Amino acid sequence: MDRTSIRKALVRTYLTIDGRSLGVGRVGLALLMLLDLARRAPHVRDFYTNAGVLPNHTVLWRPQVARLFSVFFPVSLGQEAWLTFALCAFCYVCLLVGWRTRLFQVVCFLLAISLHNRIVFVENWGTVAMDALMAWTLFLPLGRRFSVDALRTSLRARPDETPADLAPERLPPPDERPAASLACLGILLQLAVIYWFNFSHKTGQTWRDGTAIHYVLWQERIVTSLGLWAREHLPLALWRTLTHGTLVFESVMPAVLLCPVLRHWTRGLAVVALTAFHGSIALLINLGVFSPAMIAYVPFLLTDGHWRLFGRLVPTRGRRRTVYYDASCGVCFQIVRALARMDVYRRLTWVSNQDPEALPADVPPDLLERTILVVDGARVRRWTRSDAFAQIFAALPLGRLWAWPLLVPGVRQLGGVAYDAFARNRTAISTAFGLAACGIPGAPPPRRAPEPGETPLRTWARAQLPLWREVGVALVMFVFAADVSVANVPVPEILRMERRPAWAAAAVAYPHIFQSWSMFSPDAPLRDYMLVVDAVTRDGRHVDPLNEVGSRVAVLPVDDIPKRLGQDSFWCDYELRIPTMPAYHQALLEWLLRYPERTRRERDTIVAFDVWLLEHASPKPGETEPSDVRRRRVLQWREPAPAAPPAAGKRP
Amino acid sequence: MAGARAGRASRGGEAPVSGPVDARTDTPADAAAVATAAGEGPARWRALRATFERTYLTIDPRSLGVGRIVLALILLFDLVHRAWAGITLWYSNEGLLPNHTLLWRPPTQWMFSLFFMASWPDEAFVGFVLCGLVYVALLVGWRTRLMQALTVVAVMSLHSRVPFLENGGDWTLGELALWTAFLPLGRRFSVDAVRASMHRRRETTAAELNDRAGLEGDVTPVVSLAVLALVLQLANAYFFNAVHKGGMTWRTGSAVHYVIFQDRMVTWFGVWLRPHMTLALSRVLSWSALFTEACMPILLLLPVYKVVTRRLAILGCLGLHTGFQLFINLGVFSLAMMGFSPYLLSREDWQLFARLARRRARRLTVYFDAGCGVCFQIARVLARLDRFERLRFVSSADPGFLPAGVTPELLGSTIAVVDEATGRVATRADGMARILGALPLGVLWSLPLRLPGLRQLANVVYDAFARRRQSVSIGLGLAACGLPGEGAAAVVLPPPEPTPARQVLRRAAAGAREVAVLLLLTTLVSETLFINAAVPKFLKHKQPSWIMQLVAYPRLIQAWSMFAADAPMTDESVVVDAVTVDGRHVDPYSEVASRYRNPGHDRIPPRLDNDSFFFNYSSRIPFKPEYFVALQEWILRYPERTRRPEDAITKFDAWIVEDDSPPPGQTEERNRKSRIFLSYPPKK
Repeated sequence: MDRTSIRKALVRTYLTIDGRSLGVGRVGLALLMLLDLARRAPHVRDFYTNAGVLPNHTVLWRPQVARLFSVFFPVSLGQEAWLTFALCAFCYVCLLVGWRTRLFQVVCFLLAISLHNRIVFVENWGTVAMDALMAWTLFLPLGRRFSVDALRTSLRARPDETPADLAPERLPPPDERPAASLACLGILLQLAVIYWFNFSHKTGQTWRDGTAIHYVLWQERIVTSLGLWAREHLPLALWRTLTHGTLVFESVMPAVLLCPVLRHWTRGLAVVALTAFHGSIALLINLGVFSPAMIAYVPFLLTDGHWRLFGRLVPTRGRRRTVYYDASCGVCFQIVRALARMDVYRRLTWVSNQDPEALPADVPPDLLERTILVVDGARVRRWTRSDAFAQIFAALPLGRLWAWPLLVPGVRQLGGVAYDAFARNRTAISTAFGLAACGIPGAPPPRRAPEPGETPLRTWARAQLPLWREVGVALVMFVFAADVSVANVPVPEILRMERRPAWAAAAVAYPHIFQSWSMFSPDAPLRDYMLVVDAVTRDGRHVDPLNEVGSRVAVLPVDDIPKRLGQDSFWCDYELRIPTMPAYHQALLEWLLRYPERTRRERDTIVAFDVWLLEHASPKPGETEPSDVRRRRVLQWREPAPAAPPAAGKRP
Repeated sequence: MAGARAGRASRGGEAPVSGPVDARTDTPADAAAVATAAGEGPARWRALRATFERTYLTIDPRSLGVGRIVLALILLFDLVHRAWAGITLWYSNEGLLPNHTLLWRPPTQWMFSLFFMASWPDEAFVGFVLCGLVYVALLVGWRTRLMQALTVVAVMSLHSRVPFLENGGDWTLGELALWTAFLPLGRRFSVDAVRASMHRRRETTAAELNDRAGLEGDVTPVVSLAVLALVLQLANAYFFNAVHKGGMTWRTGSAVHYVIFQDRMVTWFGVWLRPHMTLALSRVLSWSALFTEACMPILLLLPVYKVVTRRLAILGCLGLHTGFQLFINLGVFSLAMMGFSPYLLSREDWQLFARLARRRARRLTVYFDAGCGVCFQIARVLARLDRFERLRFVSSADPGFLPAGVTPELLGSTIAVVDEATGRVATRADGMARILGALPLGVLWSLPLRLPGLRQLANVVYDAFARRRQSVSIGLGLAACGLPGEGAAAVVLPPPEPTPARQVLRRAAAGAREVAVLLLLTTLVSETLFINAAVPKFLKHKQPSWIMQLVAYPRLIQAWSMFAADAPMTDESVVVDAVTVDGRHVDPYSEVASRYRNPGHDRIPPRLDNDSFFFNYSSRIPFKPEYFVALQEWILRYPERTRRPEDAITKFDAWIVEDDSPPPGQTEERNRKSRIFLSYPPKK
C-alpha cells in the first residue's frame, strides 16, 4: 500500500461517517433527548422550581461547579418551568424531524445542557455521556439524510417536476456523500475514553473476585424488579462471569472501536456488543439516562457496508404498490412528490390520472376524481381513501410504524372521513396554496432572475468554513483531552495537563462535560444508603414526605432499607448526596414544611421532623440478608413554641 | 389615483398593499379613504370611525423610523450607563445584588431576566455585549422585526435583574420598547427598507439612478391599536404625575426649591442655582412644570386640531424633561419620556420638514465609475438615501460635457463631485464627504470625513479602495470594467403575489398582534386604576392574577407619582465607617457611590453625585434587611477590589444620614441625624 491509499484508508476509518448513519443518529439523539425530558417532567415542581428541593437561589448561592450555563437558572415558578420545558420539547421535535437541523442542533445542545446543569446536584454520568455526544455531533451534518431539510432541498432542486419525473429512475438521487470531519474521530475517542477509564479505575477487590455485580444488585435504590428477582434466584457463578465479562468488554471496546483494519466487522461487533451490554445494564439497574445515552452512540458506528447489508435484507417485492392519483390537483401532486422521495426502497410506482391508458381496465376513471387508488404488485388487491394511504406509508422505511395508526379500528374510519373531506376540498386547498387545481391554473412559479453564480468572495468564505469547523473540533478535542488527563487517576503523571489554561477548564465546566469516568469503581458499593424522614403532622400522624415522592415505599417506622426502593436517578442521587451538603439543608427543610401545600390537606401541617440516614452492609456473596444496619440523624426541626402570654401586670 | 392608493393604510404594520406613492406631493390619503368608506355603510358611523382611526390609530411610517432610531439611541445610552455604573457591582455575584439574593427574596413575585444566568462579571459582560449588538441592529434597522422582539427581551432582562434599583425611567423605557414592538419601525430609514427597495428595483445605468420615481420611501400610514397605546401611556404618566401632586410644596410653589436641595441627585447646575433660587423663581418653575404635566394629556388626546396639539405636546415634553435634566439626575427618565416624541409627529410635520429641507437644497453632480460594480451598488444605496434629490449621478465612461476642473484622467482615478451652484469640484474622500453632506442630517455623516487627520486617512483609504475596485467588484461577483457580474444582470422583478393561504396567515398574524395589544391595553387600564391613589374608590378593583403577571413580567407598572404628593423635604444618604486591619477608617461604599471618598456620618455634603442606581439603593437598603448579608459581604471584599491586603476590614458600621432641606430663602440644612442600620461584627 502506498502512502496515499494508507491516508485514504485512515480517513475512511476514522474521519468519515455515512450520511445515513448521521440521519439515524440524529433521530436517535432526538428521541433520547425527548426521553430525558419526559423523565424529568414529573419532577418539574420538585427540582426545577423554588417550591422544590433545589431552588435556583440555593444552587446559585452554593454552586456545585463555579461556572455553569443554564437558561433554567432564572426560572423560579412552576409555570415558567413548564413553559421552558415546552420550548425544549418543541426544539427536540424539530431536531427529530430534521427541520432547520443546523440551527436546532445548537439550540437543542444549549437547552439540554441547561436542563442538566440546573440540577447538576442530582445528575449522573448518563447526562455527561449524552451532552458529550451532542457536543461532537454539533460539527456534523445530521440533517443530510432522513430529514425535512433533505426533503425540501430535493423538492426545491426540481421545482418544475412533472408526473413523469416521479419514475424511480428519474427521481433525484439522495445525498450519498459521507461526512468527513475530525468530529467523527471525536465520537470514537469519546467512547473509547469512557470504556477505557471505566475499566482502568475498576481495581478494587469486588472487581477482582467477581462479586461486583452481586453487590451492585443489592443497591436497593437502583435495582430493578428484574434485578431483584435475578439476585435472589440466579447463581453467584453467573454474577462472577458477568463481572469479569464487564471488565473484558470495557477493556476491549477501545481497541475494537479504534481498530484500523476490518472496519465493517469491528464496528459491527461494537454495535452489537454495546447495545447488548447497555441493554442488560438497563434491565438490571436503573442508572437514569446512562444506558440509552450510550446506545445513542451506536448509529454513528454504522458504516456504508452495514447500510448495504440492510439494503439487501429489506424485502422489496412483497410491498410493491402502484398508486393512481389525481395529478391535476396541485396539493395532491406536491404530497406525491414528497412521498416519492421518501420511498427509499422504490416500492411505489406513481401513475397519474392524466394517463388513462395506464389505468386498470376495470377502474372507472371517475373513481380517481374521488379518491387515490393503490393496487398491489399482483394487481389483485386494491385500496382507496385512507386505506390507500396506509398502504403507501407501509411501503416506506419503517412503514408499519407510520401505517398502523390508520389501520386501528376507529382511527381508520376517522381517517376515511378526513380523507373524504380533504378530497372534496382539494381544489380549494390547492388554490389557496397557489397551486394548480383541476384545470384552474395555479399561481405560475415566480419569474426568476437568472440564478446569480456564487460570488468569488462567497465561494472563498464557503471554502474556509470546513477549515474553521475543524479548528473548532480540534479545540474541543484539546479541551476534552486536557480534562481527561487531569480527571482520571490512571493517567500517568507525565501526561497530566495540570496547568491547562483557565479557558480550557471553563470550556468543560460551562456545559458540564467532565471526562472523569469511574462508575462503580474502584469497587462496587458494599454498603447501601437511604434517607428517611420521620415527620409528625399536626394531628399526630407520622409521615415521610421525602419517600412519598422519591421512593416506591414510604412506610414508617423503618428499621432497615426496604427492598427495591424504585427510586429514579434524581432521587437516588439526591438522597445519596444531601447528607454531606449542609448548604442545601435549608432548602430541604423548607420543602418538607411545604408538605401540606403539596397534599392540599391542612391536617398534613408538619410540627416536627427528623431526617435519618439509614445504611447497611450489603449481603456477602451467598447471603441474602444485609448486616450492620446503622442510622444517624442528618437534620432535625421542631415547630417553635408559641410565645408565652405576658405575665399579669407586665406590659408585653 | 396615487393618493387613493396610498390611502389604503396598512393594518397593524402589514406590508404596504399599495403601489408607490408620490413622496414629493405626499398626497393626503385619508380623505379618499373616508369618502370611499362613507358610501358603504351608515355614513355617520363610518365617518366617526374614520376620524377615530385617523386621530388615534394612525401613524406616519417616517415617525416610526425616527422613533426607532431615537429608541435605539436611548437604549444604547441606558446600556452604557449601566455598564459605566458597574457590571460587576450590579450584575454579578461580586457586587451588591447577587443573583441568588434577588432570587431568594425577589422584590416582585414574577420577573424575567436572562441576566440571572450570569454570576461572574465576564458572563454579565457577554450579556451586555449581546444587548449592545441587538440595540445597534435596531438602530440601523437590520432585521428590525426580530430586533424589536429581542430588544424587549434585552430591556426586560437588564431592568428585571436589578428591580431593587428601578425607577420611573426604567419603566418608561421598557414600556416604550414594549408598545413599539407591535409597530413596523423598520419601514423607513432602515437597512431593511433600503434592501427591500434595492431588491424591488435594480437599476443598471447611471441615468436610471436619477429617475427617483419608485425609489420614494413608503408613506403608507400604519394603523394599529399600538399607536393609541403609546399615546395613552404617555398621557397616563403625565396625568397621574400631575394629579398626585397635591401637597403643600406644590401648592405653595416651593417644590423645585426643595428638589434642588436633594444632594443625592442634584446636578452641578442645580447646586449653582441654589443661592439664586427665590420663592418666586421656584413658584414659576414648580407651577409651570405642574401646568405642563396637566396640559399634556389634553394635548395628546384632544380629538381635534391634532397637528397643532401634537406639536405643542412635543414642545412641552422636550421642554419639561430638558428642564428636569438640568436640575436633577433621574437616570434615564427624562430621555425615555422624550423618546415618545417622534411618535407624535404627523404627516403634516413631515411635509413641513421636507419643504424646509428643499428650500436649502444645493444640487451636486456625481461623476463616478458606473462600470465598477461595487461603486455602482454604493451609488444605488446613495440614490435611495438621497431623500431631497440633491444628487445627480453621471457615469464617468459617458460624461458628455465635463465641467471645468474635471478631466477624463481624473475620473479614471477618483469620483468627482461638482456643486452645480458654485462649480466647485471635490474628489476622493472629500467628494464622499460632499455626497454624505447632501443626505438628510448630512452634516452628521460627513463630519468625520472633514476632521483634520481623519480626512487625510480617509483619502488614503479611498485611494487604496479605488486602486482595487475592480478586484473588489469581482470578489463580490459584481461587474467590473467590462467583465460581467451579477450586477449587470439587472432584472425588474415584481414582488411575487402571495398565495391566498399566505394572505390569510398574514391577516391572522395582524389580527393576533392587535389582540395582543388589546390585552396589554386592558392590563394598562386595570393597573392604572388599581395602583394610583387619585383613582376614585368605585373604580378600584381586585386584579386577577393574569393581569398582575402581565404587569410584573414586562414591568408595565403604572404608578406615576414622582415627587408627589410633595417634593421631598428631607435628604438622606448611606455611608459606611469601616476600620481596616491597620486601623484606618475607610468608606468602601462612598468610594464608589459618591464623589466624596469618606464623607463621614455627621452631615450630607453638597451634591453627592450618586447615579440613579446608588440613589435608589441608598434609599431602599436600610429597610431591606434580607439584602444586608450581600452588602456586608461586599464591604468585606474591599481588599479584593483595592488589591491591598492592608485594606482588610475588621469591623464596620453602615449609617443612614438624614437632614431636613432648608425652607425657601435659606441655604443651610437642619435637623441632621444619623443612625446605624448594619454593623459587623453584629452588635448584641
